[in-house]
Amino acid sequence: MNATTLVVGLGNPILGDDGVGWRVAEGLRPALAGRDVDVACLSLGGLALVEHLAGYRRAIIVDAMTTGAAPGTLHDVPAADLAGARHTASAHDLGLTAALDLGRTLGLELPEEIRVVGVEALPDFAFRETLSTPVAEAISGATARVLALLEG
Amino acid sequence: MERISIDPLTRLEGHGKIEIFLDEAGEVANAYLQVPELRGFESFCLGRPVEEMPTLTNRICGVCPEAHHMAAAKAADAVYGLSIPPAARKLRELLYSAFFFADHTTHFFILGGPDFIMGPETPVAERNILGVIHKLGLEIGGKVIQARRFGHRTVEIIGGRKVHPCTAVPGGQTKALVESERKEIEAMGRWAVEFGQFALQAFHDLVLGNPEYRDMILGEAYTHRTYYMGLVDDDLRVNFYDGRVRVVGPDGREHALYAPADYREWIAERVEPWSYLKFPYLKKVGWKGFTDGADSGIYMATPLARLNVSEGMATPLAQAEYEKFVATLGKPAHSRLAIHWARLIELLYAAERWLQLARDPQITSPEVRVVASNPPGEGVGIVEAPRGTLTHHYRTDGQGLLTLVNLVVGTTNNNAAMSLSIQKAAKSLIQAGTVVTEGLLNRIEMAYRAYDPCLGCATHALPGKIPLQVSLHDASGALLEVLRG
Repeated sequence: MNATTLVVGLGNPILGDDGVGWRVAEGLRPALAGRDVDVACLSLGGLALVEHLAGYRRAIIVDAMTTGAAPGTLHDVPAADLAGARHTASAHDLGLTAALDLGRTLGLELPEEIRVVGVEALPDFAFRETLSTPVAEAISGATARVLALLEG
Repeated sequence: MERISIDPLTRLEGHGKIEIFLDEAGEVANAYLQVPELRGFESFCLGRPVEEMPTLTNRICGVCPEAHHMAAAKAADAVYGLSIPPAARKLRELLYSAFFFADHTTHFFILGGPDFIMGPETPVAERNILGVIHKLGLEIGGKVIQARRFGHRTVEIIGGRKVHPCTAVPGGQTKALVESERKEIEAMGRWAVEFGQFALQAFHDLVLGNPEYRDMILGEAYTHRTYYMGLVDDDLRVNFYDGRVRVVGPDGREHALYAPADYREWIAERVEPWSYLKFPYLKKVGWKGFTDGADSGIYMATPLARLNVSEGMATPLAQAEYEKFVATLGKPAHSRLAIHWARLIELLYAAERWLQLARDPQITSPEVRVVASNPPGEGVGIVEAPRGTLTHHYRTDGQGLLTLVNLVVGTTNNNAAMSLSIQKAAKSLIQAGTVVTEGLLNRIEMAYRAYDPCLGCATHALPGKIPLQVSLHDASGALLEVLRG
């Protein structure tokens, strides 16, 4: 059986700052052990992500973001507000909003509440296993944000 | 010179943009697909143990990790001079067939197919899977989700994980299949064959049955007479996992039939200042610029290319459909939009192969791995990725640490061919005085989307970008207008 809540670290762990979602999720595992929360590290957005969310009542997605803010800036938004991602030329097919629409249309049991905790990344994604300094320094803040959302 | 740019591309993986340059008269002077490719993967791998490559190359891209996993495992087998047990080979091909099935399904129903199903003039907000469901009913959406679920489940059983399998290692597989798992995979395979037939029927009804689309597929706007490349088995039939690479010319005659290790005798690569993506071409024909014909070394490696280089399909239902395809389009078929039809024939083949292998008495053999005893050296692994021939080439030192990594990925093969298609579509669709409409630009996008290009990136940083941006520049380069779709 699934837990009630899913925390997803999204990203590519060997693509520089894109790996921040995984770092936050891995760091949360010990704190969340024994609680009604599953933790997953995933690399695909769109439809594949939505397929993973099915069956949970609540989801928190931690991902890198590039909005033009200073690297390391935290964003915390409901997934519904990411309408700009509707057609994102992303890892596959659909943006998150369109994929959620599709999932709901098809009757998948998707979470009522989906939050996205974003960490502003340096936009020059290149293959390496390390994060840039401002993004690495943002991990503790992002972790605290996820924990606060789980309490809320 | 006036410049039109379509940026970024909708509904394909990775980030890219199309630049169209107009002359003073408003005619198309040139058109290119520009790809800001992620850099540095090959150098990132140097110094690492070669056995890490099957799981590391998984992470190049979130779209076809299974293809990289297989090519890397085959190259690593070759580095150690290993011949893997028959059951391991079959398990890899079974996993790979299920992956192909799910990937081709996604492309036809979600990425490329909506153009046909909804029509190119339909607004972008409706030209997607949601529009398809609205038009054709909920059932079709449910089937697409089910197809993906069964494909992913089969990958998970054999590969240890969904999406990013981890069981192929130098010398074979780390995990054998047990009977209960085999039964589950067989049941899913039966459903997959029915779905493959359903998908082809949908294509016949919606696309071939529509005179406008039929004309578009058979018309010159989307036609190039190039070379074609694909893997074939010993009987020259399509194979995704193994075999020799066959190349045929625009007249259908064989240009090359070579073993993976010989790829460098046949393929050369060049770079252009405006793109990070390499342009491979046929070495013995030579690079003659962005032009087609028998004298130009530009080739294509897609589902259509695979059908063009082969003498048929190895499974009965796909073979019957292949015969219809050849009777309609001739051979080789040069129309790029026929890639969609070819993809669905491959989808059915993948499903039939999945079922065949699930019923193979050897598939549950516990003998799935041999251990390396030779010193490591150099190896090449080639598979067909959904988007084209995928080559991994490694060389290691005596400790098995990588000293050379060269990858020629599926989409890269088609880089020059895609630019050709974009130029030709732009020239036939944009002429002096023609007003640029979204439908028109979408037809240009259709030209490259048929290739199912994957621009090699797993970044999906949120919130994503504006879907379609068209910048109009006058002859001096000044921005006249920005249109967003």
